[in-house]
Amino acid sequence: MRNIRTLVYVSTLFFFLSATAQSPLKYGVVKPEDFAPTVYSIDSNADAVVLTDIGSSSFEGGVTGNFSLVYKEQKRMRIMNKNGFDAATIKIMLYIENYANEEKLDNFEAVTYNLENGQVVATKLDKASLFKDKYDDNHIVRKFTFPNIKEGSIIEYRYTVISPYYTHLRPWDFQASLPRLWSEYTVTIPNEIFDYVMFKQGYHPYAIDTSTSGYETYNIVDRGTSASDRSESFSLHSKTITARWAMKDVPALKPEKYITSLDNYRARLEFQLKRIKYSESHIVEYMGDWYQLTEKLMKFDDFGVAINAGNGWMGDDLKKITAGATDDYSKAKKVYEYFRDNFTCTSHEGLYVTTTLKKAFDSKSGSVSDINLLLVAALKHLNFVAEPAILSTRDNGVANEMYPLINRFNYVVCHVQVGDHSYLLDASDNKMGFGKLPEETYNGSARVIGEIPILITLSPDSLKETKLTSLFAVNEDDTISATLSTQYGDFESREMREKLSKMQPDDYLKEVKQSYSFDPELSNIEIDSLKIPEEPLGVKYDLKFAFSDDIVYFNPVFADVMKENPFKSAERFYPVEMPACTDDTYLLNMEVPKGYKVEELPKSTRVMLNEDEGMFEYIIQANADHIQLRCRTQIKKATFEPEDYETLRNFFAFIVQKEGEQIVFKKIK
Amino acid sequence: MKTLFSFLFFCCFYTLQAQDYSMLFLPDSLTKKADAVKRYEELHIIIKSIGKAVIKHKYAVTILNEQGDEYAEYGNYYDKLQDLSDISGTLFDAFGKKIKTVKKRDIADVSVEDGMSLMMDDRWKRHSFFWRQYPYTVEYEDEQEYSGTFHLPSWQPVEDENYGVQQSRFVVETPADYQLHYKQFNYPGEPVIVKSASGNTYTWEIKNAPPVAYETFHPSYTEIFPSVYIAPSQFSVGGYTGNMDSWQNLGKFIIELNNGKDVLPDKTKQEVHQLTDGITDTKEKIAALYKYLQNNTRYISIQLGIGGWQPFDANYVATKRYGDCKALSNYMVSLLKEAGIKANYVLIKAGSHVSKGLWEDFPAPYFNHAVACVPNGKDTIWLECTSQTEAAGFMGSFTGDRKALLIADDGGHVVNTPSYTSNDNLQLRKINASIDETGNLISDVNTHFTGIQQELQHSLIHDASKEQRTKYLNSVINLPTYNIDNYNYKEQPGIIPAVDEYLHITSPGYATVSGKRLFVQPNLFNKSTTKLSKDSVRKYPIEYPNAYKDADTINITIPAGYIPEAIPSNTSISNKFGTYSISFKVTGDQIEVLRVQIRDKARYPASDYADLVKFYDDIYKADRSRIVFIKKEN
Repeated sequence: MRNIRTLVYVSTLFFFLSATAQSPLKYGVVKPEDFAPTVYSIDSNADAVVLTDIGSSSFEGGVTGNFSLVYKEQKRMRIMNKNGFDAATIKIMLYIENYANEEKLDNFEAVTYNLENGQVVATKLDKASLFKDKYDDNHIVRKFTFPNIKEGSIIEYRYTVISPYYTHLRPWDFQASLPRLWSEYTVTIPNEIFDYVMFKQGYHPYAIDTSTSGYETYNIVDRGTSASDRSESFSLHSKTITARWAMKDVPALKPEKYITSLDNYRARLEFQLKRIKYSESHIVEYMGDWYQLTEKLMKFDDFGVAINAGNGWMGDDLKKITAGATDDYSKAKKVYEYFRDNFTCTSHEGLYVTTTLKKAFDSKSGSVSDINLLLVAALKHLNFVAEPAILSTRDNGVANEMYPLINRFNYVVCHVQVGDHSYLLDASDNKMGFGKLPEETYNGSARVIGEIPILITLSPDSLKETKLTSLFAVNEDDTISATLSTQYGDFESREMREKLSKMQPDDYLKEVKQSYSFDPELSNIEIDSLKIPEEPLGVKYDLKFAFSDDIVYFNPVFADVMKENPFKSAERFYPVEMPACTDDTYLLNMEVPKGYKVEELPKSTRVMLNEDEGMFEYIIQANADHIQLRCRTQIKKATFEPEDYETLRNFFAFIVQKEGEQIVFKKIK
Repeated sequence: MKTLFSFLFFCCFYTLQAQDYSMLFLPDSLTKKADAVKRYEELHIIIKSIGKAVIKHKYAVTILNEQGDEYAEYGNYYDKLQDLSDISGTLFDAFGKKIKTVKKRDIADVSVEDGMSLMMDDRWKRHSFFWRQYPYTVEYEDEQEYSGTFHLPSWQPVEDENYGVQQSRFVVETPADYQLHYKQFNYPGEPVIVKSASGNTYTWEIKNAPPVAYETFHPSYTEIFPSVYIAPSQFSVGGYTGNMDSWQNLGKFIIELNNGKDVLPDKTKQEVHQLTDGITDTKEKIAALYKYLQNNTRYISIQLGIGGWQPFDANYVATKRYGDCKALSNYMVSLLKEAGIKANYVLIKAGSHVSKGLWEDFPAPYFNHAVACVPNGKDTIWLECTSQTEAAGFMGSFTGDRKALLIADDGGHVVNTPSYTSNDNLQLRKINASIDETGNLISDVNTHFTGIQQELQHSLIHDASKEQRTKYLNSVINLPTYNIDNYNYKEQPGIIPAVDEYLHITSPGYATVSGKRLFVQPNLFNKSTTKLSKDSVRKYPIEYPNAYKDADTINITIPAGYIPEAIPSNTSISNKFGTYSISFKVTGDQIEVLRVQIRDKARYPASDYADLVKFYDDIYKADRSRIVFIKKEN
């Protein structure tokens, strides 16, 4: 099913596909008839509609010694109703590395158009209402809201961004949270100099996909870095290629539950620089292959250099940490546990060391990359074969397995060899066991950055959440006493550990009590393997409840039951992507209460999901003294296509209903 | 003289001891059930003049567990009028040994994005040591300089539930001739006041305050935790001066800020006259102009200048057609004035779950919102000017039921905004449903919501897109599997607005068919979810902040051929906590359920808690009663 999840076409620029189509609207020209539609057929519920969004990127000679990228965008929107007013507030983000090389905003204008007495009235945004704010150390944000907004207003703005970051050709989203009638992007590249790889993704067809060629001269001036430097200028000549893409009537992208990242389904174009060829003898490689990327990362100060530096300063600490460890496995485990238990993860994203390893070690905190690269460095220091492995988390979208596109990755873990086994370790999460990774990382694969850049599969389909709940019930006078024990799967164990780190077991028991639909007395809670993250967590407690009416309706699946269908929505547009397969078993073994007989028993049943993708069974039997029930739900794959959704929803609806059935006990007269 | 001496001695003694943050000096009465304990705090305000104050703040907190981590983070705001400098921080281990100190550059400087404002002057600085070996102690110290003393900090040493305080002190220094107003809550005794020729010093202090546990239906924390609020007499800010000795004077200052900001452009004036000149009834005129405001403006928050207290003028709103609460309220007052209707600008502390802000005997600017009001005794009309959809006159849970400051020509006046009773906040529901042989439910649900109970539906109509609405409706109902395939809403605006909602709900397998029996839980949608824990000792009074009345009439048709085997008994409870009743009747294949619940705003002593637990348990159980049917033997 992976073929749909990674619907990313890759092509080297550019192929020809001839078509003639025109952007339907001209900037600044708004006619009374443009206000006529009260609804757009693309999405009759839309609060605002993008009428046109037209962008372009091209290269220019620059005065900083290299190329500049010029990005232009013009966008026209229609505000349909008051809920759409939010679309009239715009933020433009500009990159400014340390305030040295700024992206500059130019030719900005924004106009609101209203129809008043049959006339189009334009209201311009005044300069003072375009605000500027420092966003973070690397960005400033320019923001404004259109004046004179009413229901039905047409708003239009355009701007140019001149960027010194010529290696970053801006991507284009044809699809976003508002529907678009027309979305178009044109890119002109001096293709004898710049070699970009393009990535296309999404389901929506192109209305235009063409390219033309030309020829251009670029004058580049290098003013030098100080006033005394002599200004130099030179010219570069290149053939150019101008590619133009457009989409018509693009529906809005809508969020759904159980999805890794909506971004995987967005109609979008992205570019990655492969190489720059200034001349035959001056070629700078940017992408290369996985071997080259690995080599590059290994030479990078905040990655390879940091972990390979020997890091002798941690020797004494590591001696203390591994004291008493007799074999390699326990040694590696002690090191892992030290980082896991003593470090705070301040950001769950990152690939590089953010300060220095020493500083991160001293401050006992850092990003996921700081902590896991420290772990790699520590294990290397102890002569383990340890290497970083990079991956893209589920909410970050799919990373291409073929192309070494480093900026698609956002997470790093530690890959270590201990004896004949290799393990993936993540010390940034303090509830993880040795060799286990959080569910966020199961998003296809991880790439080891080592001598051989091997690919490690991390598929949700390969994971199974196994949960076992068992209940033994015996009689007492007018009451039933039972012991319930549950053993959780890895992910749920992790959640429970997180929860129990913030509350006392007795408080947890109170919370459990509130989840019962009747009023049992709960006591003697025991928690197993709370501090042993490698093991599944177990919870055990006793319960006691009254049993004395003439007729008692008794639900045998009364604990830990699925009360709600996880799939509430009736429709589904994108695949269901669950974090793992599941296998839940509930066992009940109870005495028939003294003085009662079983009047009616639910029927045993077994249903399959799509033949073999899942199974639910409810097997119950009773004799005069005992009732036994086994109720088991298995889901054997993690990803389901939209067309399977209804089946999946009905399957869960059946489970919820079956688990609500009752045993009827009658007092023997 | 004696007082002064002992005070100084006292001061030195504590300064010395306070440096030791070892756990050895922390009594278990403070750590029991606590996530964090404030070890030491001094909030020192030096009022230099009516326009200048220096605030020195030093505090240390011991963090006992993961939940306490949030108190280890430092954060403070600054803007053009409130400079923030000299921040330093130190981290200590459990033995009080210094682990590290923070350098200035480690303190992050962030733009305030409050999620609603387009632009604000405020920025804030924040820092965290991200430590995880418990317990640990952080100590921070900062200094702020205020240009303007309109709004002064308050002292609230207990920051939250499960938070102990070992020692905290609040010191205010003023010039000798300066008049300081203060109001204290839950503070035993009076401040120590030392007066001399060079100035006056006021000192409040608490020691060994044990942590407070969370309680359901607790009263506002202002009533529980100690705090001291201060306010100036004379003050100046951003080139304006004022006096806060009375609400009237505080109002006069606001008049000055708003002065001359009510001038409308001619075009707007003409529109006002076109709209209203033909109408004679004042109420209708107000309604027409309010509609005009709603149709022509929208809410955009821009908090700039004079600490965000001065509105943009009426002309700004008329041309840009947007503004924040101050600008829009001022604009509305200007529109009404043009039509010859006297209206007022009103400052208020808005929000449904926060402290409602204004204490009549203590004039101070604890406001975060502005509205407009046309005063006329009990027919006073209140106008929320930031909403494009609200009905004229309705204040609701955001601004209703509280005191506010009305700005009249002669200054400020404390007024009450409307409060709402259980008869104003209705949810009257009628359900006609049927269940088929396999337990599937089909139902038509008609509900009439009014007052505060219609606020959610109102925002579903206006603030949600159709998709969000469908999605919300299909996720919010407490049924295992269901679908709402048809719905509609009808609004009835008014001082007490109403919404009529129709839902068509199907729920496969709602009733359980098990062999020859059919199990039906006939109270379909309105089930109490309150379950209180009975084994805790109640410490504080019980407060019901909201009043409401729910009435449900449910008729369900079941498949033919069943006879009831067990019908739950009817429940009817009427006591000081409210009225609740539910009755079940089966006639042939018809089930009829009547459910009524009424609650009024009230307060009960802590000793009533056990009864309250039982009250809610009984409702919880009765709401989930099942009717069991058995198939007739042929």
